[in-house]
Amino acid sequence: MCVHLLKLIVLVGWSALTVGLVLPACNPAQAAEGGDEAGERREHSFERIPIPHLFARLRSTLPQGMKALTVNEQANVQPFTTHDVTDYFRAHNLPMNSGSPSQFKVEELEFLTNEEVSQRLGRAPLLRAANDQVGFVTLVGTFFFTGPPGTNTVIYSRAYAGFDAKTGNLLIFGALQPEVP
Amino acid sequence: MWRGLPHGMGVKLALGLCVLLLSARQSIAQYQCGDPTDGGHCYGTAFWRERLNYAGASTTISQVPMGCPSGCDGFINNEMWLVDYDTTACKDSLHGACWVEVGYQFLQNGDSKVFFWADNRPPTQGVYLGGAILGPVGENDPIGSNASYTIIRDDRDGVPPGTYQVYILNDFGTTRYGATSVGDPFSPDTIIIGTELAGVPANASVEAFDGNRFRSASFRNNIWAHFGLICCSGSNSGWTLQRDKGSTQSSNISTNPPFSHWEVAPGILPNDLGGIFVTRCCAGSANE
Repeated sequence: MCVHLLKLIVLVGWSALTVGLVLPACNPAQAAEGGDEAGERREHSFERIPIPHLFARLRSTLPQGMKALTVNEQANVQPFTTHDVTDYFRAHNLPMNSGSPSQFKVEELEFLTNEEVSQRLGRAPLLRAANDQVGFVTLVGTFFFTGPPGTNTVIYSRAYAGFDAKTGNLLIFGALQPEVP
Repeated sequence: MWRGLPHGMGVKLALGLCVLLLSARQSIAQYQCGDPTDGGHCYGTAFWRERLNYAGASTTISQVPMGCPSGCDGFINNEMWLVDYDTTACKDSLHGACWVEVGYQFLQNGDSKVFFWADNRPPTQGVYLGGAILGPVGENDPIGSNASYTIIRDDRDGVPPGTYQVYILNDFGTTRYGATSVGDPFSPDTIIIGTELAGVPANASVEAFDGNRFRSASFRNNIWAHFGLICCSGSNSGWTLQRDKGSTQSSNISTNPPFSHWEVAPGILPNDLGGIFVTRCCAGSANE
């Protein structure tokens, strides 16, 4: 009974597009069945739990990136050049790289579609049209990337950055190849 | 204020105060949070490790000022990580863990804060740490406003195993970002919230990030998901408030900054919203 009531309230709340839902607390002694990972305690406490992801999925904003390059808007002209990208990285580091911009350089600039970048990186495509153009930059040198507490800092010899070919904004960044010891 | 003081005393008092303030400013921005040769990044974080495999997590982070007087080295961010430290494939990977992270940050030489996400999903061949800048933190997200940051496993039909969705949604509904992390399935056993600081300012008096200096960032509505996304209709993911305080850990080489503590511990009040964790960086002291 409690589970059915909860499902009904979730559906109503979804339709009303409210951010927060006040759900009746389930009696822990009547915990719902199934779904929990094996070996984990089963407990339910659905008091005043916002469900933010439901509403974010309605209409996510397209990633904009951050201002980086000035785009040449002339027809049939490359939006930006290797020189432009090199100048950018002289003054700005690759996001989340703990090394210095003086430790790497631009190896290549290619204009690829969103789908091509996704396939090359083995990652999900950016939330935009498959044929949108991305200025994909391969960087070589020394890069230091670190994660959350307790993880190792890894030195990479190759990394990448992706710039929106329409706006020049920096969209994506990451590591391509670890340094061979 | 200066009326009634003996002649010259007011000037001396003002000069004394100026010296005191300048001394304090110069002595406070000392940190080494760079690459391994400098000791690694610094953190002001809280974490939970109570589940074998979290299906997802969410926290609500307030917007605070972030900036740099001049030429800061590194970056500062407020964020959440969902981490697998224990699965063999993750533990044996280069970084020693698999993770997905989401938050907002200020980068060196940047103009403004940006929303971002990143992940490290080995051992998928050739896929290493990577991320994306989702967009600027602009007028839709003023100082003091809040946004929820969610990472949730996507268990819907037809979605490859190991897929996680990342969402950012502000209180007004005017900032709505989504992203997808793909890779081999992993088992997140840790949720971390807090502030990460990277960099080694050459000039400690000026080249230090000024993040959350006079306004602490708060992390509330700390919840974890029982299930992943199972149906596009939204009837999914029972969520539970973080009832346990977990552990609070702060920084490494230079313990503080960042400064952090539980303002309201989880489970203290009936509707405590998973506790309120606050962080501040980078100048000042833990007691300010």
